[in-house]
Amino acid sequence: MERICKIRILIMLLALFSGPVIGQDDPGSRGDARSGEKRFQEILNSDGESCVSCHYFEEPDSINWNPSATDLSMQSGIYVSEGLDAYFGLAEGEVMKKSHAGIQLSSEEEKEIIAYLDHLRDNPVISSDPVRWRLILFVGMFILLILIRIERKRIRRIPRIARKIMVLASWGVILVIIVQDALGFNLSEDYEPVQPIKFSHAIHSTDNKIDCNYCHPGVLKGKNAGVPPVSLCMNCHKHVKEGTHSGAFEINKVVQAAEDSIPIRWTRIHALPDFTYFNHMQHVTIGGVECITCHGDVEEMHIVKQVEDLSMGWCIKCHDETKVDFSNEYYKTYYPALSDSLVTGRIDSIMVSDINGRQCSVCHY
Amino acid sequence: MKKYWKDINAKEQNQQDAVTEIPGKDKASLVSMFEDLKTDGSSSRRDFLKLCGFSFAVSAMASCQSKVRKVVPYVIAPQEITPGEANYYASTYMEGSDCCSIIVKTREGRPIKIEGNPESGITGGGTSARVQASVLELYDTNRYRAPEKEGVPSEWEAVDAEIMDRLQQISSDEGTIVLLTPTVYSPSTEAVIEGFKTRYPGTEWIMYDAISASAIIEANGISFKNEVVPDYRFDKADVIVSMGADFLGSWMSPVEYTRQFSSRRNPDKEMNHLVQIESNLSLTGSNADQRIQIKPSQEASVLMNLYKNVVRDVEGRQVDAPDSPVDVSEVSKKLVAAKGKSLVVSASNDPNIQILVNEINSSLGNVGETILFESHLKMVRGRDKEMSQLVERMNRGEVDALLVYDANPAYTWHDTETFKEGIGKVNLTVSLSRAPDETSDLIQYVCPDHHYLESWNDVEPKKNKYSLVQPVIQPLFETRQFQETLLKWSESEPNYYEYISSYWAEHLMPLQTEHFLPEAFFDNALQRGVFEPSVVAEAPAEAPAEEDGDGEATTLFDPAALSLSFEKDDGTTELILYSSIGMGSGRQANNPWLHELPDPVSRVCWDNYASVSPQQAKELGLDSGDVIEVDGIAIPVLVQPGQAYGTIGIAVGYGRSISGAVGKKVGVDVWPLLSEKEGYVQFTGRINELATKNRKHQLAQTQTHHSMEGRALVREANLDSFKENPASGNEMHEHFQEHAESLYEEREFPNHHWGMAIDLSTCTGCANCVIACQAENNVPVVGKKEVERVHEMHWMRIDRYYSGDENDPEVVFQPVMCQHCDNAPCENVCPVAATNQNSEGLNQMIYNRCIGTRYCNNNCPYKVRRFNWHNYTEAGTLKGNLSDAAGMTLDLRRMVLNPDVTVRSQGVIEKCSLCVQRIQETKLRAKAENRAIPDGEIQTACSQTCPANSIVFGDMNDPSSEISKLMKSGRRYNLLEEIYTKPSIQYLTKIRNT
Repeated sequence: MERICKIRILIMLLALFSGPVIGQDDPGSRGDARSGEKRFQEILNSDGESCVSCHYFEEPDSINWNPSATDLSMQSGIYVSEGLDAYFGLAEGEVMKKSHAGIQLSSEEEKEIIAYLDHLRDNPVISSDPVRWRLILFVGMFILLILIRIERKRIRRIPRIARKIMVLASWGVILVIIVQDALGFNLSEDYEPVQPIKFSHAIHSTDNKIDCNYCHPGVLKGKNAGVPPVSLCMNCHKHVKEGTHSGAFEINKVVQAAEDSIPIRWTRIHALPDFTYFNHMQHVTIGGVECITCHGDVEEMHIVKQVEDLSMGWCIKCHDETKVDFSNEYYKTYYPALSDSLVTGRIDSIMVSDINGRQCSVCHY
Repeated sequence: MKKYWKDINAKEQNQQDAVTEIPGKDKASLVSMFEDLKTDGSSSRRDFLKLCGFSFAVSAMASCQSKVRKVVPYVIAPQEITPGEANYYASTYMEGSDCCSIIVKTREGRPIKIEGNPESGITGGGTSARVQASVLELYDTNRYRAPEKEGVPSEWEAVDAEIMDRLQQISSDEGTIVLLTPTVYSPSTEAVIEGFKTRYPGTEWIMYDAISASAIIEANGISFKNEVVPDYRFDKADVIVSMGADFLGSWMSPVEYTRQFSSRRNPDKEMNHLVQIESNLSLTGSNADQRIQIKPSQEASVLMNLYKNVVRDVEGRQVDAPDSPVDVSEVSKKLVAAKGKSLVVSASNDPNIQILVNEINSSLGNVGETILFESHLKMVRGRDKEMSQLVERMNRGEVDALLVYDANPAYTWHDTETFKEGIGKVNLTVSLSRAPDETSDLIQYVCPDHHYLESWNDVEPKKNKYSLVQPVIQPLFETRQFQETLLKWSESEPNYYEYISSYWAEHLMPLQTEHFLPEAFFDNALQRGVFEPSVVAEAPAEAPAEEDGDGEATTLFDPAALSLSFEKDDGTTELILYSSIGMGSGRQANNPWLHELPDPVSRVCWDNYASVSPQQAKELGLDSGDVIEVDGIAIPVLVQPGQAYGTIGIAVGYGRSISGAVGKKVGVDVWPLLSEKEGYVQFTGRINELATKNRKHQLAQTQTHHSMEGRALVREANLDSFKENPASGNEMHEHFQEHAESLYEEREFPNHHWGMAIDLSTCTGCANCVIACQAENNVPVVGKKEVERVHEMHWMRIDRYYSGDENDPEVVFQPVMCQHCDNAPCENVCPVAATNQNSEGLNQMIYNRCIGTRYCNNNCPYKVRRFNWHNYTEAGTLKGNLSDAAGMTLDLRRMVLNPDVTVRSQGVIEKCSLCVQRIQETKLRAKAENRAIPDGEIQTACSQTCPANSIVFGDMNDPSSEISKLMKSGRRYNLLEEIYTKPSIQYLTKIRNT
């Protein structure tokens, strides 16, 4: 718990710096927004929490189920009509009511916060890009190496050992970045992007025991597993309006999407390049492969993460190690020799690679 | 062996020194070879290295940012759609007088491929290049997106209200409203139009076909008291004599006729005999067993002589005839010998000639045998006279409102200026076109129609052969179906689906006995796509009056009563206008697939040209590419072997002045060269003025690069020698087989061994498969400039070879795609093993491994590999290398891409995969259904669509398969079998019935 608190404080601090800086030049509504920004960060209750303690600017993670400030800003219209204070008290959800208990805002404060959220909606926080840092590091190391080379006189003041370490370290960093990038080129193992809705597979699959195929029926009958349409979500969420962790806020997005007929734009995680053909039915229905084999323990994930790199080496390894069910009439007809050997017991198993599972045109065309 | 030659220049250069000038011998020409449009051609190696460095940096930067991809599921998923799986719907292609029953393949609700509907009794699963390409029209960026008033986008309510108001005004003032359409052969649409006429009295409905059959219809009215285009049965005819009718290419119903004709070209069965008497070397002429060249003005005297000989031999009657310019005694003997089983057709639009043709057919007893009236064609019923009168009346100010649907007379009418003047005098003008054209440009209101893939409709292309059109996609734009527009204006319920289903329940349901519920009947018809009742509907008004006709012919017919002109050839050069395989009358001008489709005979794409005979070209000092002026219209020349001396042939349908970015100003508009004779539009005539211009125009020709080089690529024999020896013409096959030796180990294909057989005897070279392949496999369009640089990308090409005299050559066609060799020369030279043989006999190409050395391309003896010189479909990362001649990278156009086939990026080689995606799909289905694959279940795009059934695909390991049977044929051989590449593609020798 203590650790979480520390992280919260850290994030709060980060948020202070990474939050949008509102220009000084424009008075009026901007002025409101500026004081609103202060209010948003002001301590509100005895636990030392402010708005930003729960609704931060950085993209959310599993430790925080609350809507981010950006998420809130998207709804600022509702606050204007309902009034922020009244909104807290609405029977929207127990979770929300509880967490906002005891917070009193004056109408002035409320106005300022709403102005700030409005501003945030129009100027969303752009999260920093790790790729950019990597590139800066890469180029920086190069410049350092060049400097060491051309500024010999000044550099001499630095002890020789330190100089050598600097050169070696720079080269090391450069090489590591090159090797890492080359190996991971276009692969995205551990990719764990933020989704527009905090949808948890753990809650749906493990806690509520929903079968994978209920939402992804495509795996049994076709190429794509498919992401369920909103109408499918609504089968349950017509009734389930409040979630365990996020209250009504996240589920409300689904309801809203269904009402407005606007599809949800999820971020795709498992994606193969255009030149690779993959068919779920082949693997699940015919091959009997479990979802978990390629996707990991999705049923325990709050945020879906790609656990395998989905590289060709990884595919082929599985094709080499996976047995084929040879009772299928197709295999019996077209692989008579192998089938015979299996029946007579000359071989005890047939791997996918034995039936041309390593062949290029199986996946590339 | 015959000596084949590739084109006129190759013929002239002696075979030994065919390569007299090596391009790039001197440095200047080398530089110019690599010269790009953008650079000045003086690039040094340093520049090259700079470019390399830059491109490396760019690609490195590009790879740093991995794109965030979105996945957007449906809000409410349609029940029938499983993402990633295709759905198929039966429908009907209709574009003016072109009609074909089809099956549309859709992926996630968007149509991507068209197949023929095998249930159709007319086309039987065949299609044409234009049918295949029509799916791209749907995604045409040039289409109207909303109704327009005076060129300004408007709203349907506003436009409807104004038009209805003005129609009402005109109608109550007893003014004339004219509805101008092409032939409407949809029974429900006819009913809708009748409803409109009732609502607005004073409405006249005029059907206008740019290429009409007026003369045939009226001649049949005179000869047989039946004003229709009859059902020609080429499959029942043993001897066919065609006077310039390109029935395998563009005349009337070419898909149907190709199917019928080719069914009689298998030498194992009884072969037919085709005599083509023509001026242009048409596709039909290229397939003829005997081809006779005449000038168009000589047609009357040739036919008269034919008639004279036929009545002499059949009826023993003597008729006078002028001297024939060519000897037709052999032809008439053949016709008489096949009495009742022969067929004479003519493309002439002169009723006198058509009456003469009718009389010949009557004398031969063909009427009722090969010419049927009970199943006549309904697709071409327009009369030139009516159109001509309309133009006059418009100019006299007698027309108050003109509604133009799907016709473009401002482009196709020969007297464009008068039509344009006339349209200015019409009070209310409305166009119902799908896309801007020359006519809609002059018009006040545009009420755009849906594309046929977005529409409901029904058609009756032949009497009692019905086919349904159903939408396979939501309308892309704010358009409305023509019929619904008319229903709306007639103040009826604008729901055409309801209209059709009730029309069918009322009128067509009684023609069958299978279904008792109208819903069941309609749904069944919709699912099958076609409804062809076995009971012949009674048609008292149109009952064939054969006996009357015959009676008159035997007793009374006097050819002298016809106003036939038998002019002596005075040496004037004559003109023949024709419609090409790709462009037709120019409706689909904005379709890049069709523009890039090389003409089967001339191999020219992206242009029309004046075909001149080699002899005349020599006399005039002309060469291909020289520009001449024909009656004031400048056009490049193509020296065309087989063109009759003293004639010039030009294709109509080009040179559109208002079209999309692709179709605008491609080629030359020659519709103004048409003339009118006694109310019939003439496609032939005399050239008054023929001048040579001192300039050149580059024609993009895809086959100046291939030469047979003395090898037996196409093997042929005639029927007699085939009957003696089935391996006739193919004698070397055995020799090569015996002496074949390989350094490679024999490969084994224990599971499947895919193979294909192409019958050169039945193949007509119609090029339908080329477009089918392009649509299936995401083959890019490269544009004219790139074709000139020999960068065309078609995976499948149809090689055409001439043999014999250049002024009267014999022609053969040979479809060539990757031969999938067992001992493939391409495989050994690839440094990265990006191409290799798989265990099922396919030569697989792995794009992501290819580094673009093009060694394989150089080493392929068949030259079937294609290199992506540029980024044609925007799949690559280098932005500067985009080459998009035809807007194929626009999002809308990209909707046509097949998601199961990789879109190739620049720098890789690609080639025919034998539709491996279809093989894999079927194998998967078989595994899922726990069964083996029956022969014929897997069809490649080319084999599925071939109207002649010339292409057979199958498993050569299956002894009962069709392909295994063909493997044993004496006619089987492989391309270049002397080098023992062991291809999986088999060819069957061409047998001519000469």
